[in-house]
Amino acid sequence: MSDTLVTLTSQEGKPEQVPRRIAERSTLLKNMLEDVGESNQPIPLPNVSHKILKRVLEYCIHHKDDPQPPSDDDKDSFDSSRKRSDDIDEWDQKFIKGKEEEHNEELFQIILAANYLDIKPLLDLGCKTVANMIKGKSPEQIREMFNIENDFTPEEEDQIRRENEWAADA
Amino acid sequence: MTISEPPTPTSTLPHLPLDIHLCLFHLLPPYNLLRLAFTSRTLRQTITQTPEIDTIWRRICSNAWRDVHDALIKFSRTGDGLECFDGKGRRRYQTGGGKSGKCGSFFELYVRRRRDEQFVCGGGVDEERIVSGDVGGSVYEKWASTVRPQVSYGPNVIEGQPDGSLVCHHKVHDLFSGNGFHLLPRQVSAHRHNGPVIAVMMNEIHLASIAIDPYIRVWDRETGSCINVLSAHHPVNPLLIQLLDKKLLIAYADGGLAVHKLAEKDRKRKVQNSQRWKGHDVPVMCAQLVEGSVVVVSGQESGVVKVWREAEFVHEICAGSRLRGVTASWDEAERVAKISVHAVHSKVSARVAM
Repeated sequence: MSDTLVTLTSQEGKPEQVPRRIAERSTLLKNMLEDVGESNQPIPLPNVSHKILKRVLEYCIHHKDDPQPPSDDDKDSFDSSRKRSDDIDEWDQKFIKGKEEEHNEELFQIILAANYLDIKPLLDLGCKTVANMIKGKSPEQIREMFNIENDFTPEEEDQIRRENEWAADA
Repeated sequence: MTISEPPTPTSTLPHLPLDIHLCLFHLLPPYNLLRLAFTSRTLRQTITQTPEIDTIWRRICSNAWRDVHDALIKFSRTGDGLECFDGKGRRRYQTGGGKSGKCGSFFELYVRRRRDEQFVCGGGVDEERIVSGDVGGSVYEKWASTVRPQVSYGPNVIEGQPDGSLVCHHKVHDLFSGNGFHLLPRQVSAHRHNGPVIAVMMNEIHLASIAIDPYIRVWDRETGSCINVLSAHHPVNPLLIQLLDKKLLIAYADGGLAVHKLAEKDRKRKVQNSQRWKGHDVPVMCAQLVEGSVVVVSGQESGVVKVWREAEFVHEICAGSRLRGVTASWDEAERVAKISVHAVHSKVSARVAM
């Protein structure tokens, strides 16, 4: 059964065929496939563009032999140890880096797709990458990097700066 | 097969779904989380108003404590004050200036942030002043009356007071305003210490408070009745006190160790059994009870770690360089204590059969 092909259709309606065991890296798809049993019907993914779907499947193919991560029910969701963000392997780093000019836009779309499809390792990879980008940056640098609009009033900004001088200077 | 879906979320950082934000917040050190909150009103609201943020904040702060411990590795008493050293032995701060006082003991790790107290994680105390450190390794001197040790469970915070009493607050934590402790105080007990409380800690049954006097009072957590008063024979470093199951471990600066087996709440005012022994010839730097066993592990700064079965010496591990910390667990099936000694230049693991 694991060698059968599954058809996924992206937001644009483009089909993409993948082996079932690749599709099952996604908990969402795994549950759906288990629910419907044997079926040749394509699975629509209205929240994932074709370009991002292909990127997600590229990740799933590379990690097809990885053990499945434990479900949230199996572990304390607030793990006592701080999660690390510096343990990304070389292939994953290259994968998530993508094309420089559209890096941020694509990165967030991959994160959203990973969240939607419930692919925990890919979601972790995306969040670790964002965390690494944020670390050590000033608020201004973070705004510039992620194109965030500063919607504080000057008074609010001044108050926040005074309250948090200790963190800003660290 | 059809799927009915909500609209695709916007793919910008402030507007990501909460699940993703939480995943990201878990990965950020405290400073970076705060800086992220400075970037926009949307992110600030997400970070401050998410119910889970309190848990995240407390967890990352407790992890940050390791950084503080490294930064402020050593407080020592000088002729007229306290000296603080960082992890590389550089002196970072000195109090005193002709003022003498009883000093050299630590107060406990506690995590909170207030507008005027900044990020206080732990430090040392003399009769009037508290010297504390933040995650950046900065050192602050405060009057003892402004900084209070506390322990929280559920929505409650039990806070040690300068007058020796314990007060229970209902806690509503606001990360940024610093005004998050909405106080509905009540006295935990009519009893009190004869001096400022410098640390409080609790387990399932007991609440322990340590004061400058120096006595350790053990309370029934539910009723507030005082179960016992233990006299410390030497100034106590609250970082070297552990309350686990029904046992209280105290390690002293003179190298002494003590384990007090505490009474159940229905057998009041009885410490069932106490053991005190000379564990080290120099100050104990770390000590812990190993959960589920009678094993005690204690270490000194030079990297020597000793393993005890109750008060009986069993084994010694030498890490060969300055000690940073010890972790230990108990394997009931094999009846061995698994011990990892973390030193500055080495890490030694050992399995000690009991």
